[in-house]
Order: sequence, then C-alpha cells, then structure tokens
Amino acid sequence: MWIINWLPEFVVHLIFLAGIVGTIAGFVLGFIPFVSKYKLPIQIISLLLLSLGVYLEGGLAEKAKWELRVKEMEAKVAAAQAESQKTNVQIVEKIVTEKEYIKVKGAKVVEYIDREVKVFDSNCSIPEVAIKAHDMSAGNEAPPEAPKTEGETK
Amino acid sequence: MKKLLLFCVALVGLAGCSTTVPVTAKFPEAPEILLVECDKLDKIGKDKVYFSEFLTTVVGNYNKYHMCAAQNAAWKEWYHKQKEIFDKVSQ
Repeated sequence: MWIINWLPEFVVHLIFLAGIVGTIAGFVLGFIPFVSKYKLPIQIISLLLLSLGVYLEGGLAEKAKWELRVKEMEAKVAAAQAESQKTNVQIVEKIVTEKEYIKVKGAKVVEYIDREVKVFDSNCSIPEVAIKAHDMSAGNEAPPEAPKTEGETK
Repeated sequence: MKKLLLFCVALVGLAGCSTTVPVTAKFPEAPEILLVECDKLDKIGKDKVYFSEFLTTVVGNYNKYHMCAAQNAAWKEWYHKQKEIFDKVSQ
C-alpha cells in the first residue's frame, strides 16, 4: 500500500483518532452549542475520517505482518545460503580426496605393470589392428567398413 | 463537501495499490571443480608398442573413467543436496 509507505505512522493514528473523537462529538455531544451548530458536517467528516482511519490502520497492520514475513524469509534465505556453502565445501573436499585416491591407485597399478608385466614384453607382441581398435575406441571413432565379399558385390 | 467526499473515495481507492517486493532465494552456483570436463581418453598413437606400454595406456584410460565417474557422482550429490536446501526455503 503506497500511501502507508508515504504517510508517517503517527498521521494514520491521528486520522483514526480524529475520526473516533469526531464521531463521538457528532453523535453524542450534540448538546454542546458549537457541536450542535455544525452537527451534520462534523458527522459526515468524522465518519469519513473514521472509515479512512480504519482502512489505513488495517493497512498498517498488514504491512507489519508482511514485514515480519519478509524478515522471516530473509533469515531463512540466509540460513539456506550458509548451509549451501557448507555443502559445497564438503562436496569439494570429498571429490578432491576421491580423485587423489583414484590417481594413487592408478599409479600403483602402473608400478605393478612395470614390475610384473614388463617381463612379458619380449614374447608378447600386440598386433597393429589391436592398437587401431584400441585407438578407435578411445577416440569414439567408427572402424572402417569391412571389405565386401564376392557374393555381396554381385 | 462533494469534492472532499470524492477526494476521500479516490484516496482510499488508490491506497489499495500494493508494491510488495518478494524475497527470493537464488539457486547456488556449482563449485568450479564440478564444472571441469572429463579428460579425453589416451590413444596409443603408433603402430608398434610393447605389451606393458599398451596396458599402461589402458590402465590410464580406466583411471580417467573413474575420475569422471567420481565427478559425475559428486555432481548428482551436489544437485540433490542443494535442491533439498532450496526447496526448504520455498516451502
């Protein structure tokens, strides 16, 4: 409600109070000479002020409620951000450690190959096609088409 | 009096225009380490190779797979945990 943001709070209370006082004066204190002289205008203006005052007081209460909810939401968002940051750190630490383990284990297997498998190098040759097949697989490439047999060409 | 009445009615009517700014939670950015792409697999790249050398390349590629799988698992974990935190705020 823009008018609530624009009007100072005390003005709203003042309008409401003026409405109440005016209504009481206009409807109850008719025996006072000044009031009895302007009875109708006092009644109309004070009723209008009272209506506006009630409306604005309602707006103020609603604004206070909204402000409380905004504060609650801000606190919730801040807590979530902190938790999210904590989770990020935990996951990063976990993945860094895990990658380090994988690297170490891989290096140990390579050491094992050097120690245990290298002795078979002299009597274990790898055909060229096997190397090609490995490289195609590593590069996710398709192998060349198989040459067509005589039956297929006819 | 009529003008005053009209003014009051207009004021009450205009007072209803709301300008509430909602507080929104932003989905967090993923850590840099999770955004790194998986390594490409190594090729032998020559016609003749010793068996141990061949095996070392294969083992290296398995290693790269395990790295990538670990990163993928971390991605999933990150997403599920962050979504849970994010959903708690909007509830």
